[in-house]
Parts: sequence; C-alpha cells; structure tokens
Amino acid sequence: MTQLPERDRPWMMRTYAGHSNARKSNELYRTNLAKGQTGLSIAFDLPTQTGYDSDDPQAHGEVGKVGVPVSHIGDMELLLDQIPLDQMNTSMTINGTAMWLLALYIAAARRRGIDADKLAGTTQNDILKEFLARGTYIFPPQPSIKLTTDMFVDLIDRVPRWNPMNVCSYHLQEAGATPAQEIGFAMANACQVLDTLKSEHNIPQETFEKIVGRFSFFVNAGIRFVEELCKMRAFTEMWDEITRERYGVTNDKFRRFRYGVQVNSLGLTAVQPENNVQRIVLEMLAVSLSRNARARAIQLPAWNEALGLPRPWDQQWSLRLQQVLAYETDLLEYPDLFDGNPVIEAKVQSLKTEARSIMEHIFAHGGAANCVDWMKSELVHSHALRIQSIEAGDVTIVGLNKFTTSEDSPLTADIDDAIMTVDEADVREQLTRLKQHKADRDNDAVAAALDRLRTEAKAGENLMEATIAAAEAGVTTGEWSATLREVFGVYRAPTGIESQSLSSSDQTQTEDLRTRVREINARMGRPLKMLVGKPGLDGHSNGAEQIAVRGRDIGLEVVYEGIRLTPDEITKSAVEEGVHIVGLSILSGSHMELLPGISNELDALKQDKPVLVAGGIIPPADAATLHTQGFDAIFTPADYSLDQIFSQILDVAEQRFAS
Amino acid sequence: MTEDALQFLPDAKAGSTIAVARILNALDRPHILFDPAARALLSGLLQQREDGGRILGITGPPGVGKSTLTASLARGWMQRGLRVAILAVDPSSTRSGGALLGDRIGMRFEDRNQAPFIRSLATRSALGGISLETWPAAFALRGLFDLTIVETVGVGQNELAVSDLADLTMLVMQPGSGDMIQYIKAGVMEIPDLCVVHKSDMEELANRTAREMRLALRAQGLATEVLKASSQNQTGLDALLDYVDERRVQQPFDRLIDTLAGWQVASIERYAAHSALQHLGGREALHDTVRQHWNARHSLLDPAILQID
Repeated sequence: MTQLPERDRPWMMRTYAGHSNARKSNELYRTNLAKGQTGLSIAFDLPTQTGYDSDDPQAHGEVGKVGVPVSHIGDMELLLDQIPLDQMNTSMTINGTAMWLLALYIAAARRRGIDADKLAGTTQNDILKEFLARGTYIFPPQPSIKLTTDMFVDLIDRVPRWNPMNVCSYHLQEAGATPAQEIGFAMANACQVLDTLKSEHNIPQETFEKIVGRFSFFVNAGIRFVEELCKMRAFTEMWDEITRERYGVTNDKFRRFRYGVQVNSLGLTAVQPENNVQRIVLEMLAVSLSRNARARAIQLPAWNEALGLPRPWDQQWSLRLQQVLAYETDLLEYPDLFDGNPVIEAKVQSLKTEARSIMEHIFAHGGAANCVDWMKSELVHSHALRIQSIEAGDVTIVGLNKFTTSEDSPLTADIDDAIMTVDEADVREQLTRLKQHKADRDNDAVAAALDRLRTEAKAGENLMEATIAAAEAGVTTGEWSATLREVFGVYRAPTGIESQSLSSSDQTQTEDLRTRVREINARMGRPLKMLVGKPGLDGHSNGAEQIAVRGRDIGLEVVYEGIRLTPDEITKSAVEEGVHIVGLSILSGSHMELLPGISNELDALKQDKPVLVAGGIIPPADAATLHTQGFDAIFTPADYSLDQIFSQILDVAEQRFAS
Repeated sequence: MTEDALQFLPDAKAGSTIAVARILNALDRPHILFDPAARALLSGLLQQREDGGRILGITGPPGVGKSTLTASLARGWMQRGLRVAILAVDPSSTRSGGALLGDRIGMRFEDRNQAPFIRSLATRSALGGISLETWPAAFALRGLFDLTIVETVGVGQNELAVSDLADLTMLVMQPGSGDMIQYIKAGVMEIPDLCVVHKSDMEELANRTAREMRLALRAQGLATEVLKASSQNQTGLDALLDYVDERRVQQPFDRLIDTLAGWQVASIERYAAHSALQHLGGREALHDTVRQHWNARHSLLDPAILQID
C-alpha cells in the first residue's frame, strides 16, 4: 500500500494560553477557536497552580502572569463562557491542584446543564515530574500520588472521556534529560501510579484495563529530530509492552500510547529569534511524520518565547505552522513511512534498551517515588553536560554560538512592543471579583464543605466527590489547598545539586575563574560568598541550580535557597549570610513586582550591599529599569555561557569589595 | 577591619540582625585569634553571658533530615521564648575550594519575625566536620542568643569535632539505616549526649531502629538516651525540647573554658604551621626547592637544613 484509501484526520491543534484574568482569557479562547484551533489548552497562573488565591500575599506579582487566575467557581464559569464544553477537548496544565481545578470544571459545566460524562480532556497531574523539574507541587509524594489515583478511580465512571493524568516527559527534557532518560523516567513515573492503583485500590481487572487506557502522555520534541522521531516510536512500543507484560492488559486499545506534544521551548533563542520558527517546524516533524507514533495533539511555542510573553499574533503564527503541515502537505495521505527502515529500527532499539535499564534501576530501588533524589541528581548532571557542550561549542546553536553576525531584524526593531504585558487593571478586576464572591457566598456551606474535605482526607477516603461539593459550595482555591496542607503537610523537593561532581569539560576558563576567586579571597580575607534563589512562585529551577553548581566549581561558597521565596525571605537570608553576591532567577514575568523591593531593602547594608544580579526572561526595557534600581547585571537566555556570567559578576564584586 | 566590628556590639545586643551579621563577617577570617580587636570582641561577648547562652550540636549522616529537624526544634524553642541562632555547616569541595550550602532549603519560616538567625558555613580545610572559623562564630552567637544550634554532617574523629564545641550533642539517625553499625564500630556512639531516630513516621522501622540503637549503646556500657521524633508529623519534638531544656542550664561554664582552650590551641597550631611555611617562602617555593633537590641529588632533602625551628 503506498497511499491510504482515505486521508487521515489531522491531530488536535491547541495553543497553550491564558493570561490576565478569566474574562480576558475567555475572549482569547473564543478568538483562537474561531481561527481553526480544535481544542483548548488552559494555562493557569502560578498562584492557582500552587494553591493560593489571587489575594494571598504569596501571589503578589504573579496574578495573571503565566496563565489565568482561577480562585473559585465564578472565575471558572467566566473562563468557559460560551465555549461548547460538551464538544470541547480541554487540556489543563495543572498538577498540585489538579483535582480542585477539574472539580471546578465539572461544577461549572453542571451549572450550564452539561453532565460530567459529556466532558472530555486532560489534567496534567504528573506530580513526580513537578518534584523533578517544574516545581508546582504542594504536598509530600505519598498524599500527592493518592490524589492522582483517587481521580483515576473516580473519573473512570464519572467522566469516562477524561484523562486524569498526562505523564510528562516534557519538563524532564527541559531539565536536561537525554532521550533515554525521558523515556525511562516517564515510564517509571507512570508505573508508580499504576502500581499504587494496583496495591492501594481494590479494582477489578476489567476496570483496571480501562484505567490504563486513560493514561496519556505529554512529550517534548527537540531539534535532533531524527532521534526524536525514534524516541516517539520507542515510547509507543514500550508502553504497549509494559502494559501487556507488567499489567496484563489484553485489549490493544487500552495499550495505545496516546500523547500530546509541545515542542521544545528551552532550545529557542533570544538572539536572532526568527530562527526559532525553523526550529519549531523541524521539531513538529519529529512527532508527526510517523503515522504509527503520531501525536494526538500538538501545541507549538511562539518564536519570541525567549523574549517574553507571546502576543496573540505570535501564537497565531504557530497555529498556522501546524495548519500548513496538516492541510497543505500530503503527509496525511500515506501509511507509516518508516516501517522496516533499518536505521530507524536500530535507533529505536538502542533507545529502548537504554530506557529499560534506567527503569530497572528505578524498580530495583523501590520505584519512582523513592528515586526522586536519584532522578533529580541525574537530570542536573545531564543538564550540566549539555550546558558545557554549548559553552565549548561542541553543540552548534545557530545565531548563538555560531553564525552570530546578523542584519538588524525588523521583527525585533521595537522589542518592547514585540511581547505582551499584563495590565494592572486586569489584576484589580480579578481581585474585585474574588472579594465579591466571598461576600456573596453562603459561609456556612463553605465551612461545612471544608469540614467534610478535612474529615475525609484524614480518613484516607477518595476526595474527588468532596472536592466537587466544595467547588459547588463556593470554596476558593486557597481554602481547598490550605485544608489539605493542614492534613497532608507540605514538601520540599530535592535540588539534586549536592551530589554533583566538578564539571569536567574544557576547563580553561573555569580554571581561570577559580584562580581569580582565590586571589580575591586572599585579598579580602573572607571567601567570596553568594546567595542563589528564586523569588516568586515559579518552580523552574534548572537555571538556578546550574548557576549554584558552577559557582561552587569556580570556588565560591554558594548558599542555595531553592524556590518559592518571598522578597522578604531573600533579603533576610542575604543579610544573615553576609554574602557578597546575590543571584536571583525569575522566569514567570513577575520580575518588576518582585525584584526592586529586594534591592531597596538591601540598601540598608550600605557599603556591604552585595552585588545584585538577576537572570530570566527579562525584556531590555525592564532590564534598564532594574539597573537604575540597584541591579548590577541582568542576564537573559542570550547569556548562555555560565563562565561569562561569572566573569562579569566577579568584575563587579572585585571592584566593590577587593579594590 | 575587625576594629569596626566592636562598634556593632551594642546594636547586636539590641537585636539588630545586620549588626549580628557584621560581627560574624568580621570574625570569619583566618588567624582571628591573632587580631587584638577580635579577641576583645569575643571576650566581651563571652563574659556577658557566662551562664546564659548554650550551644547545641546536631550531627548525623546525610539524608536523615537534620535541617528539617533543626528547624522544627528551633521553632519549638522560639515558641518557648528563647532567642535562637543556627550555624549550618556543609562540606567544601576539596578541588575548587567552593561549597554548596543548601541547609536553608530545609529551614523555612513563614513569619520573618518568628524566625531564627541562620548562617551557613563551609567546612573549608577542616576534615572533622567544622572549620576553625566556625568556632568564633559559635562563640559570638552564644553571647547574643539563648541557644545556638550547630548543625553539621561530620560526626568527627578529629580533634575539633562538633561535640567539643557544643554543650550538648545530638546524633540524628533515620529508621533502618545501616550507618548505626558503622558508627558503633568507629566508637562514635560515645560522643553524643542524646540519640534521635528521626522520621519516626516510618513507625515500625523506627521502633526497631531505636531498639537496636539502645542495645548497641548498652553493649558499650552507655546509658545514652534514644528518642524518636518526626518533623513531618510533628511528633516527639516536645520530648526532645524538654530533654535538652533540662540539661541546657545545668552545663557548667568550665566546659566552655575547655572548649575555648581547645580552639585556641588549634588556632595557634595552624598559625605556627602557616608561619613556618611563610618563613620558608610559602608552599610553592618550598615545593620547588624540594623538587630541585631531587633533580640535583636524587635523594630526599633533609628538612633540618631548612631551619624550621
């Protein structure tokens, strides 16, 4: 057969979107659907993801930044207004509070007269990868996994077309995972949930098979697109084998590897950002060319993501990339193009072998939940190797470390207009609606719903029903989370940095920096000390971790304070620790709200005020403002060399403390 | 430089965090004992609280949750009205000289006004778990706070271990850890005043570990108390606080005088070694001399000709 009798239906096309407030996001969704987008992909803001209401002090500066704030059922109703929920397939990027947001979705649908069994979609809900890479976890591993398994057990009848969990290798790749690690870790994470379902819940095999069939995956595709294509084929074959061999699933349909994709954002560059369009297209090919391992849903990043929040036009461009491939080309007219290809086959087999050995290591050490520390440390190590190879020029990134001369780009001529910003008025609107909601609701019903949640959580019961009842009673995101925090406790994930050995690649510059640090230390008497941390709720700690490790490697004493720090905590630490340098990483776009205050407070140290630097997705205009407010340097994704970054930091530190 | 530090003393006593930090910065230098201003500062701090501040050592292998336990206990003592400081010690990299100090991650206090003073320190050249620079920091904090907790990985076989510095030392283990056997073999069990099985939420395993620990201690003729605690479930913490509180005030000041002596001797020893090397032109020059000697004579150099004494 050379051509299919009938052209395949295209995959689902989504745009990861949400910003400002529920009203603004709803407008955006409806516009996107009108442009031919076929599913919804909801991005929530960080307070919603980490279980805080928009008016919580922890939420300061973060409301509406990386997604939409949803604090109560009113927000959810407004967000979904006029969207045909019974025909929609909705993906929600939500993890720590997944059960809660789905409950709001179900409750909002019911108010519109749509029964839960008509709903279809996915909650991301992969908590292990939050510990490893993304950082929006709330509770310790055990109760977190229980919330996930509760959802699987409850939803198989209540919302049979819902995927309670989207096992994510996506963020593992961003955190540095090699293709084999991506497969191995993601499969082990899925097995952890399946094993828990088997051992903790008494489920008949027939239902269990159906539950296996509800597992979906969320995958990353990088620029090495041939290897990535093979990775997807390996994933598909392995999931079929594991579900058959380990879990005895007999029905082929329930063993199918169903996955969605967002192609790689980490590899997108801030310099010559127009090149990102080529990267995105090639990465899309990896997940669409194989008919036997084709993505069910694709969402693409925008060309300017490394610069700031994309505008609707930028997102439209990415949607059009998909539409050209699906509707203009002949791709969907053919059967699988690679079956029997010896090169592809061999590569798939070698990835599978490597992934299998990673999984065996994890199983031998008690499963994924027990191996969070080990996996994290492996990821930090892989990521360090990747950064070193870019620094050394062993990996070519066009425009970044090769072919760097460029004409002036008309696309970025007015760079500060080429990104989107959140209007303060939209945040105020959100806060007003929250206040109104609290004033209007029946407080007794809220208290009763929270009591029920608390009691059932303590008793270890399935919490889905009580959570839906709470959503309907008018409970808020912060209240649901606080009640469960009280019962389950909170958690700090491992950083993976303590176990890192000294970097071993081309060390000339690192060695030079080490000598310099030694000289400065000798002159000062007290060794140079640096504080590294992440203000705000953003949990993408990969960059901060790499900075901390390289700082140690060049001879600094580095206090690493981790994620979710308030400006207050950071200034307190900087003072108590007597550091010479403070390095802050922030990717959520809330830098203007969170950073200036830190600088002001540290002014109290007068001549001892540490060198203050920040890194993240910070547009040039903001960087300039931060300079005037006491920041000594601002680094963006264009500053890819850690040694260069440290060289610049040492210049300032030397001048201030050792001249 | 340290002369300035004396001026921070009144503010530090009045509770200024910046002043306390500046005193620690000033004391964090090599050969501080040989700096008259530093001596005056430390003497002043130690005299004023002869029977007040105490130092608690918390030690144990990596991964047993020492930072979390330290934070839980600090919170308990602050609720009991004590002013608390924490010195968190982590190892330095022998190759780069740098260090990753990650203890603050496990020590989070939501209310800034209800949080202890925390300073992280690297072990630097010290092999036994705490650097010579840790000692003056601990002495200074002892003079300014009711309780100073020194948290460190090294249990220490060396002459300067945390148990020498502290008035009381707590050894923390986790359930099912085989480390205990290693510790008994190494004779470390004689050091702590109290053993704690942390993470006692792992109930059965914790009970068994505590039992084994008691047996092992008794076999050595030791009556050291073994207690269980869980930071996650917040259980057993009050008993730990009580145990330390009962003994905290009983520790005689004489013990501190010995501790001070120990540190001074070690400081003089290091200074002497340092001076001797300087006298010989420094480590690198000496290296060259010895090397050239071998190249010229093919025999070991007799150190006597260097006139070290």
